[in-house]
Amino acid sequence: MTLMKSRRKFLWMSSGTVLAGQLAPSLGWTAPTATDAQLGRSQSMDLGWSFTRSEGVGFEHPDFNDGAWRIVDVPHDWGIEDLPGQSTNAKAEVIGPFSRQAIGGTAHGYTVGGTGWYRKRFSVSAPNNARVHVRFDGVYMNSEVWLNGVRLGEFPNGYAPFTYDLTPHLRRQGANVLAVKVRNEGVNSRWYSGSGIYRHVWLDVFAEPSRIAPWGVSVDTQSIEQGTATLALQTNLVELRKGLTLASTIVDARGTTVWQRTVPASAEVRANVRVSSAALWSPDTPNLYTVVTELRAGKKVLDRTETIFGIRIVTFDAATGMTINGSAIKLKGGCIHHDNGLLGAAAFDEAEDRKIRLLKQRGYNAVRPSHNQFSDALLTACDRHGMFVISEAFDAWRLPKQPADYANYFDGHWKNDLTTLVLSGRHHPSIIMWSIGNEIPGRNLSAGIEAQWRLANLVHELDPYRPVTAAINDFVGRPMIASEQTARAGQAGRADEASFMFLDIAGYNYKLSKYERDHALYPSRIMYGSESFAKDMFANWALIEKSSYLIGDFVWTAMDYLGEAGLGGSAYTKSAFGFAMPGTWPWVNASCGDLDLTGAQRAQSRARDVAWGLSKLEVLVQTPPPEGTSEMIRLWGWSDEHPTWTWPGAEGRQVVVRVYTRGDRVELRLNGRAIADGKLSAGDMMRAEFQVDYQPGQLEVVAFSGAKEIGRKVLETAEAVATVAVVPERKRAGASRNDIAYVAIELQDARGRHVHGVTQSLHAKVSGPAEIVGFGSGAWSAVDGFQDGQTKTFNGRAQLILRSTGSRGLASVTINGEGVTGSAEINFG
Amino acid sequence: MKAPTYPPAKKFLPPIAAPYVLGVETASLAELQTIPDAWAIVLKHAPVYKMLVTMPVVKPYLTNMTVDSFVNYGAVKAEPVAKINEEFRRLATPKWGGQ
Repeated sequence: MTLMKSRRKFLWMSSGTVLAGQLAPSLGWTAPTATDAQLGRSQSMDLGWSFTRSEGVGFEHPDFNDGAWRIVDVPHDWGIEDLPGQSTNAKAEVIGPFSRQAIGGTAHGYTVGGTGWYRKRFSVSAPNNARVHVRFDGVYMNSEVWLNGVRLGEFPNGYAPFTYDLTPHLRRQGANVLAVKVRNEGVNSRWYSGSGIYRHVWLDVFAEPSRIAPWGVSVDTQSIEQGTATLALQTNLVELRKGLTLASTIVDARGTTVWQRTVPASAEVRANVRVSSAALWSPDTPNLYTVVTELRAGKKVLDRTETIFGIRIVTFDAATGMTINGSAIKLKGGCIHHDNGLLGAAAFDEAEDRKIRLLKQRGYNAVRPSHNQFSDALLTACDRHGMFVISEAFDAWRLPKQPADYANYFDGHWKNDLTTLVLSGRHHPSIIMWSIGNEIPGRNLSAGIEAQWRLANLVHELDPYRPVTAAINDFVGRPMIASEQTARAGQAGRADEASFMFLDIAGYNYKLSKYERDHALYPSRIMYGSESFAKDMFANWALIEKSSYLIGDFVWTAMDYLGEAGLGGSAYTKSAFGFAMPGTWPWVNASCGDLDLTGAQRAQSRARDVAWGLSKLEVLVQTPPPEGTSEMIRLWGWSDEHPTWTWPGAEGRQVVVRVYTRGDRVELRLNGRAIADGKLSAGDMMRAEFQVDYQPGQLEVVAFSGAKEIGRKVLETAEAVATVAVVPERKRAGASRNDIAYVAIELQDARGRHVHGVTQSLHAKVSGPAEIVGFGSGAWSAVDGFQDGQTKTFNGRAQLILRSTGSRGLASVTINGEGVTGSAEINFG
Repeated sequence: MKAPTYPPAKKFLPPIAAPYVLGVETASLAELQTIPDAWAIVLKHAPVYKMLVTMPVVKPYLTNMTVDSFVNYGAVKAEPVAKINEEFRRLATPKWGGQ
């Protein structure tokens, strides 16, 4: 392939969709596939890995016969696949990927890790002096890599990208075998991690050793004056020979060149760039630019990268708040985990993008990917959709939270992993802060204070344009005073609490009651809620909106996740007093998200719609508790309430109707008859509650602000299930193995109304160029496997996720349930 | 409009502890357990702490959590914690222990 052809490849990839199929169009997906790599960066190595979920001797040897292994394409997460030995034995239940006896218990969502091996054949068609690197975006965890039987190294971190230079052991002629051992052993995480090569794999083939450094291009906005932006562009080059040139070109979103320069190449090339009439990046206007960097020998291009960036200035100040490009803004934030619900941890680009789209639709403008490095696909989605990011490095430093967690590797690896986080992420305009840790044990001890300084200072050395933060729970340490040489700028000689003293911005976990007091004590401290309870959303936002020093809040969590099972939700008790303990088996997810595992709105999300002004009125009805019990809501939970008036069996009982509104008065009417009227004051925090004698029909709620009606909602009792609606979220999808399509499934009555509360078995059948990679629901418990084509509805809903087989064509989906059937088509291609 | 910058500091020198008063928010549970008089006061007013500090979900955080933390999480009421705080004030504040 000529360089011109490989350039075209770069352009395809920069369009936002990784076209694995096009990069290797002749590759099938059902047989082991060898990749033939040529000159160029970022060639997909996703297809055709042989895989076994077992250990053995000689698996790394190039001649090992792996013919009995399965063929998988990455992203792949074996942790979400059905376990062998499905069992209904009460003490040893095994349901889909969940096992009651899993050693990780609630933390891991009762999933099972273990050890797995991957093998991949590939060849390289490139000049003999070409350098060949393999790059893994994320492997959970403790991976070891061999090329042609030679061990290249190991990498403990399960979330950070890493590379190996394959050149010394590469066969220039014929096949090479890359072998990867992945160990997810012991209790090593506080949440569901997934297992295996769950993000993309790439091959970089460089024409010669001289090349652009990994993540070697940075662009930072220094100033914006009267529409003209001044940028600091820095390019790092490695193994340079003499006589090369570096060409840098900045193009806008339409492809128009706005700046270019060619200079003699050196190890570090800096340029001050002026862009007039700059299109600024913000959550409302996520304008992007691309810097195209070429290392040249004469006219020959030796290496080429495209780096997407945005032009924006973000400021933080306790007296004036946070601004973006001079405009005040608050962080409407949510913490998210890296898993993708029914897909497990598999980081398909569309799954990552969809997560951000869904949150954006619900008014979020910020996410805190907790508590580790997230995929480049997710960060790219945040750039594209206008979502601020707090990029977080660690959940533990030296003291472990789980016996086998990252603390075992921290001392030997933190510097590399933190450097990777910053260098690989710094071009993303969405990233506004670097978090050096979450609820780190021992952070206030002498060694912890020094570690905090070393981490924060490394970040400042690597990226002086973004502030450092951390999420601080509970004990903030005692006041201390740092010297001029050690302190943050302007803080020398001032007392500050140990946990915060080296942080530019203070992340508060669950400290609503401390904000005002701490502001009085430390008036220059800039604070935000790095984690908060959903139940506190109205109080939080009342304070945030009136306090410049408090720049926003991140709820735990914006979207539900596997693991930390039973953290949220509620329980029923016969006592009116007590403490709701976290759920255990068969709970498998946290059940504390605004959105559930499938991305559907839960009750707290509807309340947040009102808190953030997306809606003026939401009406929810609490599921009637079993007779003689009352509902206990867990700390991270929310009442089990739903926007429905279909409660068969509740006739004659009182049900609780909760009205969330920005109005000051509401009226309730049941079947046309006025049944209640209530006024709301500021102290009600936009919430009113009514006991209503349930009778089927129509519950109508009207909200007023003064005399003016501001909202009206009608909940109707649905009739029996008559059909199943099968609705693809999009009718067209790409035809690479990285392309997936989501299908919403809902039980409806004869009039097309959603039937709530029905649990019905469903079977999915797919024909055409797609396969099932997820079929399940937002249920909090282990119900079924996610990949076996059958599931049960939860609250009358389910979700199907299809993966392209890599061929173009129309895929047909048929969903069958008891007496109901529905179908849909999706065009892959 | 100029972008703010966050320059690195020159070198690490251990910070100096400022004066403090022993209280339910100024000492970690790990630290209190090493001060017999203080821990006895905690258990006198709220014996539940004996169990709380052994819970698997709490143990990793003993250096991070205070007596006051559990009020926030609803496991302990504010009244006994206020009494603990009151009695702490009668104890001599321990010397800086790196917390």
